[in-house]
Amino acid sequence: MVTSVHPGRAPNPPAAEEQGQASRHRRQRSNRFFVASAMPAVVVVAAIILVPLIVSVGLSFTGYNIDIPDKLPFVGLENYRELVSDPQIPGVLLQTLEYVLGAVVAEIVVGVAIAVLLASRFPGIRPLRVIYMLPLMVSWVPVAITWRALLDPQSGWVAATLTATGLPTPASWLGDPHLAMVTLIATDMWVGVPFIAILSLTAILSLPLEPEEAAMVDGASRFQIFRHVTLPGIKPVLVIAVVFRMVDTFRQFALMDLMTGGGPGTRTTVLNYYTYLTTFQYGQVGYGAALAVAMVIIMIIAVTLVFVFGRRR
Amino acid sequence: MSGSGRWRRVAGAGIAGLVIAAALAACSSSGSSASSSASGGKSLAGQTITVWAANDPFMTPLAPLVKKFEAQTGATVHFNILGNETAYYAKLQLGLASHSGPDIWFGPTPLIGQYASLGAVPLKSFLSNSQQTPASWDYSDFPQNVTAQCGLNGNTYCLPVESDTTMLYYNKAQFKAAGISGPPQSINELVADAAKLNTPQHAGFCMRATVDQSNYFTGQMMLLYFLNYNSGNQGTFLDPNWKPQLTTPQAISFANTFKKLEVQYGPKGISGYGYQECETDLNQGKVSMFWETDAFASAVNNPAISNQANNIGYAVIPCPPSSAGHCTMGSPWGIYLNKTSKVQPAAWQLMQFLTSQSSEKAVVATGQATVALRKSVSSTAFTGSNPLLPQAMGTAISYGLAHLDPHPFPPLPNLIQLLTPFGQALSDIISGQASVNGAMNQANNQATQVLQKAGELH
Repeated sequence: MVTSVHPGRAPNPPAAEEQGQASRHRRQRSNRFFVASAMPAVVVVAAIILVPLIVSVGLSFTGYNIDIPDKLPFVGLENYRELVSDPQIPGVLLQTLEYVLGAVVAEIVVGVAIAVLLASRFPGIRPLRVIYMLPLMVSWVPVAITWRALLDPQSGWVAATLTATGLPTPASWLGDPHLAMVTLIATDMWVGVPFIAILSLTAILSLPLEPEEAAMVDGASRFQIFRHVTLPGIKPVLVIAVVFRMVDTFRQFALMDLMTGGGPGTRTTVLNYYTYLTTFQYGQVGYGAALAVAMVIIMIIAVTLVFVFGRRR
Repeated sequence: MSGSGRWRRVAGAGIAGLVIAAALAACSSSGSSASSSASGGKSLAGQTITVWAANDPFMTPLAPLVKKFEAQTGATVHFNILGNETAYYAKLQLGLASHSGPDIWFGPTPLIGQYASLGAVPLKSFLSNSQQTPASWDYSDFPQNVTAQCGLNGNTYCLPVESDTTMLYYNKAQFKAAGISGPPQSINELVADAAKLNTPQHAGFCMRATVDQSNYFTGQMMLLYFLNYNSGNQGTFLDPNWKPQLTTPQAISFANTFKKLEVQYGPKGISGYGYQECETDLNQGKVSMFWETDAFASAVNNPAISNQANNIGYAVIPCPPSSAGHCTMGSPWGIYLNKTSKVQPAAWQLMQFLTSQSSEKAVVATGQATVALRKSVSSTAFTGSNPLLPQAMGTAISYGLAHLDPHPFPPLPNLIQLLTPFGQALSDIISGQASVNGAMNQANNQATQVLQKAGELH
């Protein structure tokens, strides 16, 4: 119903005005109810997220050492100066970039490819979709422990299988500085690829069929259909998936701790693991907090960049 | 039922309970006299003592013994095993720092500086109190160079419970097959033997290579055979003025030897090996020599775990002249008392019980050789009558304990931060990420920075 005030035309009748006001009041009540209902959850989440963040930022300005727990000396920006001058930091940051970029790119490429396959319709595809999602249900600790055992050069199944098939076997997947990071990325993919695949599959299955059918009628190849129809259609979901995986890989700890210990040497020491070593192994909680704050800032920048570039056509 | 009759029944039940309790106390063995001291009977009834320990072979057998202490004293003991050592250290550190830790805990003596800072109670007042520490418990039964490891700044912070000294495990059958008559008597012989024993069937030598399994610990053990010992040293590789010695010709020689042993004569993939992998290879006959601590003595000798159990020999390479008789490194584990404990006297009784002669004997009898610390126990444990405790094992452990470097670790709260660069250097060397000189130089610089920050080096 269009309402307007026009010269010469009578204003809205009083009953319609009252109806509009009542509607606005109902909406306001509904909003207040919604806010009131959500407030407890918001308070809890804010407490869980904001309080540790604020405490971490505060600790980053102190020289708190876990082995001298009753002293909390204020050191100002000293921890941040140490962060800038720490000779380990450039290597740690480079390795973090290597791990995050390598894992996310590989997972997106392989995940989307698998999603396209899983989106096909052939007998047995439904159980296959479920089976493929099983790695998502396993937490990182058993993943790390299991893969470390599988990759053992003396008694692991991977070495035994490669040897039995006559394929070359590296002396050590996790002890070789040229292979350790690649191996961790591959292990990350074991969980990351199904995650990307399920999100992409959901997006693909929810795309309308008409554009694809129209493209087929126009003679487009399967690859052209994928590139010009499917991919742009699922791009918003892919952007979200990239953000999730990027944050997860930044925060990865179990694989480094249980598979390589950050080694060989410091070859797989990424920022999150270095923060853990500094805080809990060396006891430097203040410096560790500064590293954690730096990590949060880097993640915020990275996520923002993904959203900015992701929105571009 | 009359009121007076009811009260007679209550009194009767109470008296019966006292009689039963007294009978149980009277049944306690003489070896546990420390636990039922001057006060006798259920002296600790109603008190709860919390103990934290790691999942190590010498600590887990103590858990069932605690039941005996509970029965004797009436105390309730929560003996909590908190995972493997790596996980345990972090949990313990956090628990102590947040003042929510246990009443007593097990911990390695190299971390004594950290524990003293985090609230370990100096024990001298307990040790000198004849009411709390009966003479029959006999503190002098522990070797002095072992109890010295529990000392810091003139005070005693722990009771030793397990030795952890240098040990070379070797496969006697493989030695015989290679025509080698016995274990190496010097580092040069070690290298030569490793070369002879390195065949397609088995590697010649294995030692921890990864930082996450504390390769710096066993690395220091071998380093002691190269450096010139000085009684004033602040640590294995720290001179009397706290200066790191990792770039000296002796340390470089060690690093080159270490690289040769591991890379040329070690198992395939050695750069990813920790003590677990080396032990598994020894147990499967895939490695001929395993340089480690004596903590594995019972495991490699156990036919249920090792298919080479009957072939394993135990040795310690004799000290070279440069070491002045201090070439072995130990980090005995001890039991510490928490200053925040509200049951310190009761906890002290439990500590005495766990380190008493009878408790030590009971644990040693299960094959845990490294618990045989008391002279009265070690002198009789390795007679050969127990197949789990062969004579050669006892001889090697005795040699290790008798030739300890008394100050291998500086009492710094951030000791791990000091040692880690050394471990990373060893890992970089054998994984080919750095040259020997480059890696040792970097480790030296990083250790220097840590000491400067700690105020020990100017």
